[in-house]
Amino acid sequence: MATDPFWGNIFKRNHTQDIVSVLKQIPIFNDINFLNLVKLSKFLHRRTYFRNEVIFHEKEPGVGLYIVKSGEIKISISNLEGHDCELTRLGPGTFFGEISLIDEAPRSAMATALDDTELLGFFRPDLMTLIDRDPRLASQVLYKLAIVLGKRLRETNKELKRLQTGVAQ
Amino acid sequence: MTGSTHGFTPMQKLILTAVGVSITGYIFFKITNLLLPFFISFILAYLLGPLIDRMEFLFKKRILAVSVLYVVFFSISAFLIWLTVPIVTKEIHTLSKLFPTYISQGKQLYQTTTKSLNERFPLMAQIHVDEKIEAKASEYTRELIKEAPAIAIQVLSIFSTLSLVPFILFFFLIQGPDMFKRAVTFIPNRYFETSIHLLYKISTQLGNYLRGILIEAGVVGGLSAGFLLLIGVDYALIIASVAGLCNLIPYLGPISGAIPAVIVFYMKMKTINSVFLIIGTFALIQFIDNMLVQPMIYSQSIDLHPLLILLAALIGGSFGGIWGLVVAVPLAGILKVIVTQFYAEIMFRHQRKLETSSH
Repeated sequence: MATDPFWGNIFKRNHTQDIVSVLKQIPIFNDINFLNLVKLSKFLHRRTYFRNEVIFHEKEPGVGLYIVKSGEIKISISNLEGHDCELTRLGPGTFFGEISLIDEAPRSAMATALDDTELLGFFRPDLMTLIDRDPRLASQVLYKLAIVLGKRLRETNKELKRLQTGVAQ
Repeated sequence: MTGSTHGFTPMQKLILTAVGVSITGYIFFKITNLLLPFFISFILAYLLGPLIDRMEFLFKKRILAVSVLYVVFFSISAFLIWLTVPIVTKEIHTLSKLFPTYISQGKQLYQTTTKSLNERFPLMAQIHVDEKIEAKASEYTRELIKEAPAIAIQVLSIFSTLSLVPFILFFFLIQGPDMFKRAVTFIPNRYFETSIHLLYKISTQLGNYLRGILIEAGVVGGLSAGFLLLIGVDYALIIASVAGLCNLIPYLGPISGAIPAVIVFYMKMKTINSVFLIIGTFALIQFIDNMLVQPMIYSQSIDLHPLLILLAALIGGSFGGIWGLVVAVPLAGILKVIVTQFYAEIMFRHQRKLETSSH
């Protein structure tokens, strides 16, 4: 909705600008120009979650990634005894669930809102639509996503090597 | 955009949902005729959606892409009308002139056939089969003549309603994705991901199926026109158009398409070989359709066993007649996607409950 130039607060940021400023903090989207980020913002789904509400469970089929706009998210997995083990906490400007953007494999962890949280969802169907509507922008997103996933894979390999060395000793 | 519903018990939610669905269903049932142009526009927007998506990339703005599509479509339509109307008008004019001749020839053929059958099978003469057939035919003809004004008014009313389609389609094409996104915000968080996944699968399957049957109808119509012109059947274009459209109806369609060709060619050649030639031609077209066209087109869409397709068509036909036959197969495909998805979801939640309770 356009801001009324007479009565409206001209310093009030509209929703799209808010979303674009959040996207700029995400490694997958940070190199994309402003106009393309505005275009991308139209593909995002805004979802709000109450405190302790579950966003998705471990092993649930995944649909895409979430970007934290406000609030806090706890990422956890179940140990052998069935208790939740917290892996990390994510605040505004972070993202999670990106592997589900590529495949339909089940979620590897559980995500729970620790506070009243607003998330921006970017899902596989939206990525497929983006590939049709703007292949150039879609390939930019996919390239950045590949970089992020590659980086995580390298870190995981490093961690595995460290654990193997520790066990051997 | 919140999706969470707090404050209602599960029973209250179920009752509210049931009441809401019933009221919505009742309202939709009452205004079915008014919804026809919206329904047709929705189907067309669905079919044209991927094309508009690709054009949006070329033209940068969706409204520009839709406008270009409209200009191209109306230009091509005007050209095709200018090209084919004289030929089709001539064929209709000739057909209407010769129609009384066809009727009297048909009557003569009927009388000769029943006479020869009565002589060969005396039992038929005893139970007056020919008189009963004549009585039924007269009754149907009388009913048709009586209903003709009402049918004409209904056809006119449908045409006037359909004139709204280009207008409604324009807005569906421009704002369809935004409307979908807005509708999806009402889904509760608990079912959100499952619903998105489900809607995407249904959308892909349905879109591929709709495009597939239209391509198939075009191929069958084209092949029919080619073969009929080669054989020398009169009104080949009209008959081929009917055959192509009838092919949209599973099982009954190909037979319905062949009947006019058989009648017209038999009237022209007056030999039994002409009937076999037309039947053979349509059998060949159906063979090409079933062996080549359908596997290519449907491999990406409806993933159903042929027996399930037959069952769906029978159920659809018995409940909804011709329209039931047309929508039965895509509905069966959608139902399969929904059932598979919900089954997986139920199994997952059950497994999670078991894991939680065992710890």
